[in-house]
Amino acid sequence: MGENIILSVSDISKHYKYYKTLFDIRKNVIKAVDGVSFDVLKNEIFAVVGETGCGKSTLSKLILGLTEKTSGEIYFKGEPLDYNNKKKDFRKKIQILFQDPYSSLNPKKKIYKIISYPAVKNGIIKNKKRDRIDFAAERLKNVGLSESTVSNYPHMLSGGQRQRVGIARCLSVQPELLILDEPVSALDVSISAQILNLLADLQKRNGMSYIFITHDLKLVRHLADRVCVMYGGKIMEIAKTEDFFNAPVHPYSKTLIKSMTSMSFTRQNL
Amino acid sequence: MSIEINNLTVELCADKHNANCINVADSLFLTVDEGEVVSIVGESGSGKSFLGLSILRLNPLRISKITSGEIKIKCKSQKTEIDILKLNPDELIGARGRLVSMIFQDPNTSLNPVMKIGEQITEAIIAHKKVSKKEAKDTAVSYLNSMNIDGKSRFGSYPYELSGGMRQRVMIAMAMVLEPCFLIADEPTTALDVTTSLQVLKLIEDIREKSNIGVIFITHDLTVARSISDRTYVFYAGQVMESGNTGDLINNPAHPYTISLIKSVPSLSADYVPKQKLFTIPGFLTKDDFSKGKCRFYSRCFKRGEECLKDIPLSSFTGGGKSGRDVRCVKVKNF
Repeated sequence: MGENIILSVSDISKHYKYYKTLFDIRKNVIKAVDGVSFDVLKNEIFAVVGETGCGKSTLSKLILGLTEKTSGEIYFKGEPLDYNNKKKDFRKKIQILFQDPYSSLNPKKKIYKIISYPAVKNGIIKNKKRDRIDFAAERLKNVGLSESTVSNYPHMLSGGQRQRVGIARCLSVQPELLILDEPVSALDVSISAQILNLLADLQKRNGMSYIFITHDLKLVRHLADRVCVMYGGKIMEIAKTEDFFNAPVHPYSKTLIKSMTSMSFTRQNL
Repeated sequence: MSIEINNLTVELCADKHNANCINVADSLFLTVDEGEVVSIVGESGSGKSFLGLSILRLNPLRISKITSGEIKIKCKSQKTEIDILKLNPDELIGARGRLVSMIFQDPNTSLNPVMKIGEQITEAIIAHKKVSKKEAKDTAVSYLNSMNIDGKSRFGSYPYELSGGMRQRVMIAMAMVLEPCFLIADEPTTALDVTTSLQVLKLIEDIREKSNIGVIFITHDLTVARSISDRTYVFYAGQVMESGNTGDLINNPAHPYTISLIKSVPSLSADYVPKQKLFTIPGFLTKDDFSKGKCRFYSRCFKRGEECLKDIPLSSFTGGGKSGRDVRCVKVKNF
């Protein structure tokens, strides 16, 4: 295994069983993720593209260990990823930024508590109010918010500010891999540009890898180094971003690119 | 089959005692011709959805009122021009759905979850027309078929059994079933995927071609506006900042706000350089932007100057484009 690889997913599957009626004895299976393998390199932005229901989010859940995998293996820096292994502290190294900043922050907690909680849990700082406030204030500066935000509640912030708090929370444990689950799709045009700039900036500064889950190809072209196209739980194509947009190989990738509305897209293209 | 909005002003107040009012639509002029798609583009909070609701007079009465203006609609089924703002409540109920119809933003929340979709469509027909249940059902099925949904088998489905794209098509069927003269589509593609949103756009384009009705298409995505509309109005804080032919406006924007909006979206064109820093509009839309006596975009504009601190009218330019362009900016003299 190359030293440059930070995360290696090999032949991973997640099958959900369901029963059509109460007395159904057949085993119906939905293959949400079916035999997916890919590598994510260090300092790379790896985009995962696909329609709703293609298994993008299940894949991110599998990587985070939020759901049991059916089969397959995930390696983090060459070691099997096992969140129960206390020595390795994988939890600290892989973090996720959620899609919707309105529902991913606890409305009852002040901002400093939200940001410093992962750090306290992972033993980076002590569970003292003064420590937590100082820690949060510094993190907030990194994401372009004023320090006075620490004592606010989430409802006092706008969507863009909340997403920044979400970013600050992810970065509080200094992860090496960050999963971005549609980070700007809930935000406005002008705000999403600010967040994208911030994410690109932080990646350069901290040398992290991103797995960037999205369905917006414009963002992929703007940010990603490599693209992986998923459909029905399987990977259709993995390519470098340039190659993907200049010469897509798989028919599904071609349809995707064709159906992107862009500034040069007029009624005749419909 | 056209709509003409003249000098429309809608007031939105913080409480029912009419204190702290702002103009969410500020002396607005807008026309849509027969068979024309006009899009309204702007950030969230700019008052574009509120305008859509105001045209149907669905704006919440407790906190908002239409203070001036007229909304004239010409329709084939009606002999004379109708001013929506002058209708009494009974007439208004008849007008909604028949004269003007609306596709709402989120199909997941605007369909009734405990009613079959077929029933929801026939309900609208029976409320407006004197037809039997059987006839109403036939109409509903045929409309569902025309939206590429198998009407017969899907008539008895509940909304949860349908995908997002199908739900949105049901919403469109429901809006079209009374054959309105005019359609307002409030962000119909925002909640959808790339490929399904393209299907919905195609459907709206088909409807426009077949029945030749006027459409107001509300969106925050300039690329979607480009793909569907003939003319575009760029909205900010309840005012039209720029309007004109869609192609002209996007290829050659004049108002600083339009320029910023276009620049802040990464593009797919061949000459675009990835990984560069995106242009951003500083800050966000606040209540202060709605205050009078200055350009409403002043606090976030990259071109601002002292001359912007007065009320700025919408002025017409006949620049390089074919059609006239209206721009609300003192800095733009000619282009």
